[in-house]
Amino acid sequence: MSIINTQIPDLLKPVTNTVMSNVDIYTSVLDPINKSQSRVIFNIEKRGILNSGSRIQFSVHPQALGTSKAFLPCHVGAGAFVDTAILRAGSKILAKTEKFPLHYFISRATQSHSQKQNMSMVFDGAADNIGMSPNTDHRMGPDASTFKYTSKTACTGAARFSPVLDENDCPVFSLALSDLFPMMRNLMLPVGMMSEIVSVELLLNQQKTGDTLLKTCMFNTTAPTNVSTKYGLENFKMYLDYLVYDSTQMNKIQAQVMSADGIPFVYNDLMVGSTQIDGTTGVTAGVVSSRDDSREIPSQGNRVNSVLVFEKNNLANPLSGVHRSDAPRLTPEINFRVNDKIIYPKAIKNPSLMRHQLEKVLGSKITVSNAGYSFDTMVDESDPAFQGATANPIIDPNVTLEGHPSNVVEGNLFVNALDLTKGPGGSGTDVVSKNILFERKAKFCVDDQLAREVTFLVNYERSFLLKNGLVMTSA
Amino acid sequence: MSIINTQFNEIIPLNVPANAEYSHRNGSSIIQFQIPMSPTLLDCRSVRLNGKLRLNAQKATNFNSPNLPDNSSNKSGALIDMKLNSRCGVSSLFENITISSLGSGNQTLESVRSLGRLMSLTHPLTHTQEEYDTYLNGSDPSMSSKNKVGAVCCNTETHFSIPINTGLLQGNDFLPIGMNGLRGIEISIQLTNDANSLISLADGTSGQTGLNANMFPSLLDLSLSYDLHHFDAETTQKMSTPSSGELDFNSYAQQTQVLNSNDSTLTFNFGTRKTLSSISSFIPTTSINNINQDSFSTDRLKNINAGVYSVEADLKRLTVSKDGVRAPIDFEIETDVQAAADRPQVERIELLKGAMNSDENENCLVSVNTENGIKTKLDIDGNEVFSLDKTISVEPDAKPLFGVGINLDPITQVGRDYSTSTFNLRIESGLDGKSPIHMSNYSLSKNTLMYSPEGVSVSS
Repeated sequence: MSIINTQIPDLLKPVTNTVMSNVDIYTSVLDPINKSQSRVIFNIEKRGILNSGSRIQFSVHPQALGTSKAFLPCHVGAGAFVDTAILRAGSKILAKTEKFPLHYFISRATQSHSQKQNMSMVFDGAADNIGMSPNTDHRMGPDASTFKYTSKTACTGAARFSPVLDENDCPVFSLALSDLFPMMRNLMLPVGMMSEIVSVELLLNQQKTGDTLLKTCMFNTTAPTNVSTKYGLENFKMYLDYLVYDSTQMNKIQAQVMSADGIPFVYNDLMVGSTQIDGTTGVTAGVVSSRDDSREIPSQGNRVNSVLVFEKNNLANPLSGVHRSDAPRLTPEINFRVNDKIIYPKAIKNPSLMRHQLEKVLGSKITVSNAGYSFDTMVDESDPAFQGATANPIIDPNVTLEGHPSNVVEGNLFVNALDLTKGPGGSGTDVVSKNILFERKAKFCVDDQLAREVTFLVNYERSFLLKNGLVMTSA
Repeated sequence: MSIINTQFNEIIPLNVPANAEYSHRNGSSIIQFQIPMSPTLLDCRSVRLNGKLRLNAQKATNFNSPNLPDNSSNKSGALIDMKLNSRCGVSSLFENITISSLGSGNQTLESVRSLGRLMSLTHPLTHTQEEYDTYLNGSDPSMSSKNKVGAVCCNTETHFSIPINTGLLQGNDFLPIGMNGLRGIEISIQLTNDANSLISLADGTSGQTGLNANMFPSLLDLSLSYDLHHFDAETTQKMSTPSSGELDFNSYAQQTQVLNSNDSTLTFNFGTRKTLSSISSFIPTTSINNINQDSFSTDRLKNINAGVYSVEADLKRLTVSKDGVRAPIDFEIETDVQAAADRPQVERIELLKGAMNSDENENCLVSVNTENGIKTKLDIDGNEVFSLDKTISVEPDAKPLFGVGINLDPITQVGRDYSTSTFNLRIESGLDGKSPIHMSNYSLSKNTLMYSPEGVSVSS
């Protein structure tokens, strides 16, 4: 998941230098050139090197609140606002992140509790740390150092992150460019040496009156009758840092840009595919009904590094909203076919092994408990009555978070993954003849016969060439 | 040399018993895997033992309807108390793990006895509470910072996918398993007896008796998964042509002693040339193979009172020497005052962490909470700030991580030569001579595997 070419000048790589010298940092606060409730566009000034830690600020506002309290979706926070992020140079798309909340959701899962609590929450207002329950000594619950417990069975998030009606006196949230575009985690664009204007366009998620599947803003138990939200248009800002090194260094990069070879490199971008998997009906207690499904993952003709598979049922979730990946009550068996070759010798059905495969792709452990990933410890498959998750609750259902039972976050992070890199840090696999095939054996029981919406995030390689100030990219 | 493909592999044991159920109780306690020889690189970090853990309250008449525990009555039934040590989890079931090269008549590379005892000491030295409750719990549900939570997670038949924590697989990133390398690997796992791995207080609860004798853990549907890196044709050809070479790998070896006096000098013959560290834990002899006790406890030294190990026997002083000469530290580790006042034994803990090269690492479960029962998240009145019920703590179990460790070569990491020397540990304590304590010592050493057209050999 990194920029592969080594021809990028070191100054364009976002690394922490032990010695910072001969560099001027210019900060700009940009207003969007175009803003509405559904779209916002920023044009970036042509100056120096764009720091990928530059941030875009937002605010969201319920249309009605009454006595209820609003809060952001627990796993993604402000990441819920953006549906699609597009980075352009002139009219050419350099990077496009569709279904951004899912991408942000999985990135955040690799952060430690301390990182989430002390760094990310300050920017994105999300809080989902699970620790030990202060109510029941053998269960887990919302982390007592992240949430404010008013009694041992009730906790809330910090009030300062609660969206309010007022568009002036309100909390604002922000996302970094490196959050929005995977390519910018490993690259700082030399915008001052690019002929075309670089712009960032964000397509925003909407939450309307009557919505039951909430996207941008959650409410505590006393939800208002009107759940619609709007964005504070005056609060859209982009805080940019431009780095300008001494003339020797900048001239060196300029010379490379103007050379016959330019600056070529390979970077990662995301491709999205969606599909549905049907549910079933009529499964009675003690019966397990299974069905094989296979779906194509858009990937043909690309060099693919990895695939992430998210799946979601159509139930409302008062803490996560729609930003989650639901584990089925009974873990399905999955496999992939790449270039007509089976990846797993036998389909994997062990959720701990699935999780390990995900961690391989992410390059980091996920800070989610067993109960947060699957229902494996909660559902007893050998129990003919299939009492479901209530059979052996691990996350304390008696502890409420913002008035909702905290166990609704169980199994929220059931993401499957396929690693297609060749060796550590190696390049991806060329998907030649046909799309990757995702094979899934669903197991339905009396507690879970729901249809699912499946989303694939395909991380693939694109090539980039900056030459004579012009940018050229592969498809 | 370029990697052209990375392939996921999953193999099942060579000796699959009836119902694919491995258990000491049913006489199927040996699990054998063979990774065949191929001109590839084994990615050691990807090696995982996968399967299902089933804790049986008693043997079921129908295999598919097991009698599972109900720890803490979390399933709203009658209490059936049965669990594993939550700091080492499924690994506590392994009495012995032997890894051999398939070349040259199964040359043994590493044989670790009682992996659970090693892990119950080393894992908390390198993992925080959060790590225990997130990804360790995710890969092995029986692991948690609180024993009760780990126990509740085993109330159902749960899947696990765990790394095999041996020196060979943890100390190397990659291993060649072709002709010029290990020539394939055999992993043999022997399960420990049921009373050793399980902890149960069922007998005596609500006047019940005879329950413990029927309990046993079993492992089902086991497989070993690993990634192999395949090379281009030229490199593959080279790797397939017999030649000579060598590679280094780490291995643990266990030695045991019994401690039963207030001033004991224990002598170990490691027999290894490049010895990296030594780490020991202690347990009352009556706690081993005893289902009523935690056989993987890392509690402090204790004396017997009325037949029960209940009286603290403070550790007063430690001296480490080689052939009778103090080395690698030439001073005594004084813990007398701290132990008597129940304060953290900082010097000992620092050396213990140093044995795992984690002395500068904050990722550690050890705190004044685990060592001295002092809560770390307190308000001005000394109450635990994050728990509104004083009887329920949100911190890890306040169970000490008592051990003695020493990094024998912290500077060069080459290792110290104990091939003909002895490792001596003098322990001065408050033991009364009537309370035998079992000591498990694990020495980590660097070994060299040499391969040639004639075969494979190992020098330690």
